[in-house]
Amino acid sequence: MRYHIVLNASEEDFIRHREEMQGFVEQNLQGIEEGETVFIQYNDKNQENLKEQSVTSSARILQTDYYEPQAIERGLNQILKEDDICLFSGNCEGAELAVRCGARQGGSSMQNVLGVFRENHQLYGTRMVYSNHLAGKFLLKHGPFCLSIAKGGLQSHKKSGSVKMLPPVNVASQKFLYPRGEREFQQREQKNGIDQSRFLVIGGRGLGNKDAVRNLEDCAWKIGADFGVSRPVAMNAWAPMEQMVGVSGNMCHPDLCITAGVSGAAAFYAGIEKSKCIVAVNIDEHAAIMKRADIIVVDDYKAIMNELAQLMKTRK
Amino acid sequence: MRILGCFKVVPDLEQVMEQDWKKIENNKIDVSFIKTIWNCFDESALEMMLKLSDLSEGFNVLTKLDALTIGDEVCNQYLKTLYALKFDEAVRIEPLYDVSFMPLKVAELITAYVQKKASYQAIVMGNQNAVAANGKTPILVAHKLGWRCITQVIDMEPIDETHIKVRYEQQNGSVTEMVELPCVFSIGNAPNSYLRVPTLKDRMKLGKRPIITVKEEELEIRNIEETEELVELYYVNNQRDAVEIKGNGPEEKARILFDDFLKERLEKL
Repeated sequence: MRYHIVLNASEEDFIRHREEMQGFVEQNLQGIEEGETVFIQYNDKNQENLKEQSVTSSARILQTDYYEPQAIERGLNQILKEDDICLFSGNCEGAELAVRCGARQGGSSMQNVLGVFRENHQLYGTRMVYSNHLAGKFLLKHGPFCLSIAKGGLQSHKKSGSVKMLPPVNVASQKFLYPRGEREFQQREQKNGIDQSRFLVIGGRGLGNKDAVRNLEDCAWKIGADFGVSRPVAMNAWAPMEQMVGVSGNMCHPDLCITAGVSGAAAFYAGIEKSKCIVAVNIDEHAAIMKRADIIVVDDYKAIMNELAQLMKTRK
Repeated sequence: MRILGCFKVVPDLEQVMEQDWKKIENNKIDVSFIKTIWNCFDESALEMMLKLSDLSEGFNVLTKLDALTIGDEVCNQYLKTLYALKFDEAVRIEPLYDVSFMPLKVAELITAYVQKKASYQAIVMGNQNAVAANGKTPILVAHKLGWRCITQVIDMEPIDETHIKVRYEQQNGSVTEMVELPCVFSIGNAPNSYLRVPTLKDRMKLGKRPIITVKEEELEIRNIEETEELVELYYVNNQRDAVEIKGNGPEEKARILFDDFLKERLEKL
């Protein structure tokens, strides 16, 4: 049994995903033979010193025209053997590739994998289920074992020593599998991701409307915090999706997190669980977040946040 | 153009009391007493289908919408709501047993139904459900049908009978593409996609149409061995020992919060 790593070297968050992957490997795959790191590449980003980013002592490039999951999956299936473990990044693209590769070869696949281990000669994976309320241990029955790791895991900066580059795989010239229509890509405006924020204020459904969300964001800015929102806020289009915190958004680990009007659904809480200190402000003392915070304030969030902003202005 | 929307009815898991999450027996948790809701991503999928249908008239595209779920009679009230929202056929596949953690079987059932009907150009569903959250069903269905699958879809517009203009999220941005059908569309985090509420008049007029029930045996699917098996379910305690700030009014509480808890932390940031 060997493990391989698949990383998208052409994406903005490549280094962070690489470090999360290194952390996952160190925690879970000691004693399993190293395979190779496959770098998906379709533009010029991160080309310098790519070898240094390999998690294993051998690596290769999977070259393609642009990000097309079906073509990438076909390229990976030239590399994967039945008994292999293949790890993918913890984003949506990684999760999709894991499922596709597993489906193609009849192997096991799993997304949001917290851990993987061998027990009695069998391979198991763990992930959250029931909207993040419970954890499940799954027997992985058939290889190749295609696993997308959970977002926001422990990062490691450790580098492999010397890395051997293997012959690249090129899927760009392959006949496209399905008719390809007119296509336009629009890059999202790049801001520092809130998943790397050290001080975060998060607004929830309790804010009630778009104006209130704007006001809380202004307040966050005044106290020097980044701003995020829970899923209901983003789904109501009161804030952009990029600001969403939780399992289907950003997984954050700030030193200080203040939530305002957030009920604390488990799928949201997973997005701030690794915070060093959580302050929850909610008018409802029975909200789920109130048992999962370090400091709670049962009161109207507007008054509390406005007063905080004032205090920070005068006493800083 | 005929489109099938697949959805799941799930328990409202946020209503489960903390202590009830610890009552795990035989790797199952009893949520039978909890009220049910639309699975949130499927809800977005159904609303997106309705918006597509609304727009289709302007493009001279005749669009028929069908809905399919796999589950017991609890699902019937949801199917009736979809009739009231002018879905053409509302279908429930009655499984032999709970298929919550069986994505291969779910995909096989959906595929068998689609192949039996042989009339769909597109299948739309949410990217995962609240209970099992495996994120596999749309991709597996597409794989079995030999169709393309596009994930993280956030918007759809009609073009003509064989094309849909789709916007999907990818790589820190979004792609807008004219997609040739057939295709499976997996819906991600789409803003403004809560399912509309039918009028009472439409509920009375349309909501009483009979649900089409298909027993699993009628689909004659082969025996499938799932590639993963849930062997243990366990509770993870993530509660913290909260300190409550008390005071006379929000201003005093904010002062205590700042002076006693935040000031030192903020200086270190």
